[in-house]
Amino acid sequence: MKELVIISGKGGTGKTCVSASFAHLLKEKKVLIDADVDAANLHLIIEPRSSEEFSYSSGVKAKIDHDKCSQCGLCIERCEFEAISDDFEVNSIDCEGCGVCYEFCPEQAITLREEKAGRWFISKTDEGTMVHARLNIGGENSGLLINKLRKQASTEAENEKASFILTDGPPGTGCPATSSITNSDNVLIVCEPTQSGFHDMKKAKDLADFLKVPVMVMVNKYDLNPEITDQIEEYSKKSNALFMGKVPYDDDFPKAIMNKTSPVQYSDGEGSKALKIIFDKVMKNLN
Amino acid sequence: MRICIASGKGGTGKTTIATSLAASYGKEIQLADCDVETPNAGIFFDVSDADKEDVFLFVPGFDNDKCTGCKECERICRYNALAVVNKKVLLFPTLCHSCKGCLYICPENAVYEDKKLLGSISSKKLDNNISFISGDLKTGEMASPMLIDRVKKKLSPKIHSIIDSPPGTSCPAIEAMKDSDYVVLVTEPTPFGLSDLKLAAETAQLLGKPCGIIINKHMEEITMIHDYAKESDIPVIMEIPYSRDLAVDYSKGNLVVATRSELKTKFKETLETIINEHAGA
Repeated sequence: MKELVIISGKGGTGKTCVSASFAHLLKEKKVLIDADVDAANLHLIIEPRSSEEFSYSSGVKAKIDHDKCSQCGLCIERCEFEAISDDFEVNSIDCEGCGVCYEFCPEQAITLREEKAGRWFISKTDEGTMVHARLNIGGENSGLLINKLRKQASTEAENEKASFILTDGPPGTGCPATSSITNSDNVLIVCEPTQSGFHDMKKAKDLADFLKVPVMVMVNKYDLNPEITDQIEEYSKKSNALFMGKVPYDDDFPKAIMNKTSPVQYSDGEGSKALKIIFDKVMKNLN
Repeated sequence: MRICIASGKGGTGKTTIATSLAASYGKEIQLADCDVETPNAGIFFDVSDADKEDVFLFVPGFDNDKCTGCKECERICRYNALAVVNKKVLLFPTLCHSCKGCLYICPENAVYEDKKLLGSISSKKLDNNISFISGDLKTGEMASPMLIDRVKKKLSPKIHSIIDSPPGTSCPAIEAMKDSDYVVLVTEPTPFGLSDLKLAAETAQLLGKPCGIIINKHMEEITMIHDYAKESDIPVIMEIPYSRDLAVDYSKGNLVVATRSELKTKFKETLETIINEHAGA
């Protein structure tokens, strides 16, 4: 089983465009994951023909029974998350479900309730099975949900005898990004040639290094700033990441998205051509 | 008042707009970069000599002489951060949520307050009336909301603040948004931008925040954002036309309003309108 996770650090660098294109170019049987559970977009390009839906609960939230509560204040004092108000209401957005209030309430007035944090799906698409999710607004533990998606994708791949798992990852370098790349064999960072993009690419690279995951790097819209593109290439090589190449800005990319298709399916322009070369190179360098 | 610059989708221009609003205002203002996983606002100012302080979080320490291996700490920890093996407690610090349950539950008083480095906060008073504050999460740490909370605690309530928020709609985005008085939803006219704008708008509405949309990379011929704005009764408060020239300027780490007086005036007016209509509400 081969696995590739596409991340970026900075959002909006083109992860989903690259993922959708790779999904199309990848001829072997594969399972797709959209690990951006906050703001999933892959399904807008690779549309599900049918979906099986499951609910996901992230943990628990505290609830205070006012009939039993003696208003002693111990729960407020011990809540590290400042989630309990002066009139003993639990703010479910702030509650982390740690259970400290529940454990120590002398009146046993507090219960912990499972909280539905979102839904996840197994969908059939033209490019194969895709697992994706919709975390509820303010949902917690997106990392756990991503772990669930990854586990499910492995199961699906085994059942279908698929040989590849391709993941469209989340932005950032925190909990979701960490869960997406932990123990994976290959990470591709899609970077844009801006000071911000370069800065965030370094943070994403640091995270992958920290988790001991090998890194490949590509630059999208490189002609926006060829100088920074060169710096990214140089940095990649110096820091033991494989530099896979660069894609020029191409009007056909936004047009492809508007038409709900991947850039490589939409046109054979300069951008698509460059992306295909990068795809071949990535495939040759997979662990 | 506190104005949160948010978007579901990353890369729509939150930082461009947050920095431009702050730099165009002309009066004293605070700019807080709460995208602590990938903070970028500092790139657009000279903050090389900013004051930097480390931020620590509680993690438990264990006194092995007192510990009897009763496993109460392992039981109370709902994050699987503790495992008791051969009467010795193992801590997995990145899983710890710092709830202190183990500290309170230990019957032998064998748990003491230790700490782990969560990240850092930089602050600097810039010479253009901006007080700049930015959080930076340590590699491998996951508790972004805790660091965002600490960044916000640095803000003075007496001066207006602009909060540059992380993307998404989960806990870090909520943490950045929850005590704001107004939310600016930054979007771009693409199907991705629209899809994620809807999520961000839902988030703001769930928190009961008034909000307005800024369309970045606006193109006259694409009306999908305006159509949605009308449908959902959220005003479009500003449009920034698509411009390659502006994108190149941004790529270099330049403040886009520094050389564009017309755009600067537009940002100033937008911010003043928000403040006039919503401050003290």
